[in-house]
Amino acid sequence: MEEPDPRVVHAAAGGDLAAFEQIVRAYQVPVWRFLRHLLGDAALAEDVTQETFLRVYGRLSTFRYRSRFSAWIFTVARHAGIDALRSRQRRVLLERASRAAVTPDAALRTEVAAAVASLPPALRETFLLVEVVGLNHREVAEATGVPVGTVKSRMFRARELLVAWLRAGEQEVRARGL
Amino acid sequence: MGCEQTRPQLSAALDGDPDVDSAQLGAHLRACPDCADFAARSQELRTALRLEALTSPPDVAPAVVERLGARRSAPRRFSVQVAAAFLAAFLVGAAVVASVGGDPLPIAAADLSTLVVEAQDDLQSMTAAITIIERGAAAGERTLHGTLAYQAPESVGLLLRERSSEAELAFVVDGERAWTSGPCGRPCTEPAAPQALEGREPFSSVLPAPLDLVLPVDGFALDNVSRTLRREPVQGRSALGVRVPASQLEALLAGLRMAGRLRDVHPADVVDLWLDARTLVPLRLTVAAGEGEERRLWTARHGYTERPGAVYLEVELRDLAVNSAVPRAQFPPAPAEAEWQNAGFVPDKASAVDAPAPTWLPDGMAELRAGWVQTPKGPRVAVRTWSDGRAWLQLRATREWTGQRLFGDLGEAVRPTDLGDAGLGYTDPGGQRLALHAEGADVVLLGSVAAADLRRVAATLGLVGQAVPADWAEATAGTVAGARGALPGLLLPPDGRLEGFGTPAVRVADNVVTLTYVGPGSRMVVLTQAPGDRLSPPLGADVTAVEVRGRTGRRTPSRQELEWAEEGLVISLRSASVGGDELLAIAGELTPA
Repeated sequence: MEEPDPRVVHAAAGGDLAAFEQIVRAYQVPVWRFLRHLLGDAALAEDVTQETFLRVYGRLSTFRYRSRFSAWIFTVARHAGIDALRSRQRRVLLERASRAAVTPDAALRTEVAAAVASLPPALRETFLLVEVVGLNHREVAEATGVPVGTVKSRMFRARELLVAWLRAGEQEVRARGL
Repeated sequence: MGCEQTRPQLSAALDGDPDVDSAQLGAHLRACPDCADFAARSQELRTALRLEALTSPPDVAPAVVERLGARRSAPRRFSVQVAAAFLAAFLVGAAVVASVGGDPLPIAAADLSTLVVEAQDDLQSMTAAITIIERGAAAGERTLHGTLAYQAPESVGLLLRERSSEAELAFVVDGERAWTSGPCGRPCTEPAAPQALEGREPFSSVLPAPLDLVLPVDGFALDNVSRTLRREPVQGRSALGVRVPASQLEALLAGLRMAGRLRDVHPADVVDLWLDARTLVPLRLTVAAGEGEERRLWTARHGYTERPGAVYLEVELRDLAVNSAVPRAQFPPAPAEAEWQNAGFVPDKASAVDAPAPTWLPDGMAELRAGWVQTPKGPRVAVRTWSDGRAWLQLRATREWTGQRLFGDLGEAVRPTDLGDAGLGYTDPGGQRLALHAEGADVVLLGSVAAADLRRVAATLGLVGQAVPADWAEATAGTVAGARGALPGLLLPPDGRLEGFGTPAVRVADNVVTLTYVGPGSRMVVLTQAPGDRLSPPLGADVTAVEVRGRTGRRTPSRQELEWAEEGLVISLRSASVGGDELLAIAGELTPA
């Protein structure tokens, strides 16, 4: 994922909504994909994607180009995702999540997505930031507030668990003679 | 190095960690199948996640902008160069990621639709050399060379010479006049008299200027699909590649066909189109033959020879110059021997004055030609037009409408739209035509501007739109919710929306529900449902049985129709522009409401 033209960011930070809309359109799907895997619910992810961009707009003027713009956006998305789960609306959101579970999001029914959903939250978010979003270890460390070494070990543990999950699935299929 | 130490290193190496000793790692992997399997599966996970199918990603941009308080309260003047630079920068990264899996990624974020619509007012003129290669028709392979020129608002000149016969072909639209010349068509190759038209309405839909050749607004204005975009140089220019069905580019292809006397293109065939990354002018396109029974029938019916997958049309532009002076010689007058017809438009600003005038127009739009046209056996119609670069807007109004349907050729599939104080309007399913039936005046607005802008213009005409009388064809226009109530068990796509198409126009009449979905270009699907247990006798001779949603249905390629009975309903999916396999896929997605 590459960076937006700084002129666009600058215009958006100055209140140009058309420029900001371009930013939203460029990043909304990766942000939504990240949140959908993180939260396990497409509809909830859509709400939090909106919330993410509202926060991004409010904080654009504080972006200083010390990090990649994309990495910065996903830091905001991650916080929005965590806050959504913690918020006082949690009950409402969980109800919606359970309703959504009745008609599961087709893409989440895949084996890989199910495996990702099985990861503990800290491993899951690290893994998604690397594999879905494409951030490097240093950027993930900044986004999640942990040392780079922790990111490396989380990635390794996540991969171990995921590979084990996929292998177990295959063995199950073989055992059933399918 | 043992497995315990290797796997964390493997994981780090996958993420591009420069500290990993890759030689040592490689040696271990060659000797250890278990770790090699770990590496392969980790790579598979990456590919699966990065190439994940995008089912229906939401578009939160409108809601976000609205919540930020001022969506389009001031007209947007976001420079397309900035926007295109932004898109291009974004795609560079995508291409890098894409190389991981070998195939390009679906770049959901690339909002080509918005960019193409916004690029219009920055395009004032262009010239380029053009080459067209055609295969598969009776004439064998044909190569045509020439020039393509455009000057805003509505002059397009496509002057071609056929390589083998040296025959000259032309399609020129220059405001009020248009003409075309060339061989009379297959199988005749003798020159026919050039045909010329005067009294042409501005932005006439009878003989439209092939404006999509210079910027494919019609092809992408309604494009809301996340699609594969590639980025590669074409003729030394940075270009964005997109793959779409031919029906989506009908306007562009029609312009080429008219000029080059080209063969027909099947609507479901695959077009690879490259757009200039800065201006979004089409630089190159190829059309490849599709597969399947329907396509084979079509080939046979036309006497063509291409095999599935074969590229049978190639077009490429060279030496593109945008917004520099274009010599008038690029839009030559019709030859002296031309046969003339008059389309009946009378330029007369004074007489158009009593037509309603909008008090708001998209920023930059300037009034263009105005006048009136006497339609055959129909009313006198006042015509006013506005334009800004490639963008245009036309208003047609009459005080003499006696038809039993809406004025403005919207077709029967219309959607009522609330215009606030301006009452009720009706749009075609694509939102590109908007009609008002008001006291003493019937009006239609059309153009290449965004649907939201069209609505806004309509709301400032000083008219109050009324519901059409009960005996008009459009009186059966309803909503999805109304259709659900009328026909329990109605089958609908998830959320009522069909990916790649807009909100449907709904008709409910005598328990028969018809939903018309319109997409970009000429893409359209009609879903009809009525109570019943069995299909009526087939209308086409080429009926075949086909499995639809776990039942036996029937497919009639000549009618481009798929029919089946399910749970007390008889269902039909028809489309002249969407292939049979896509119809089957659409059928598979439907669920009872």
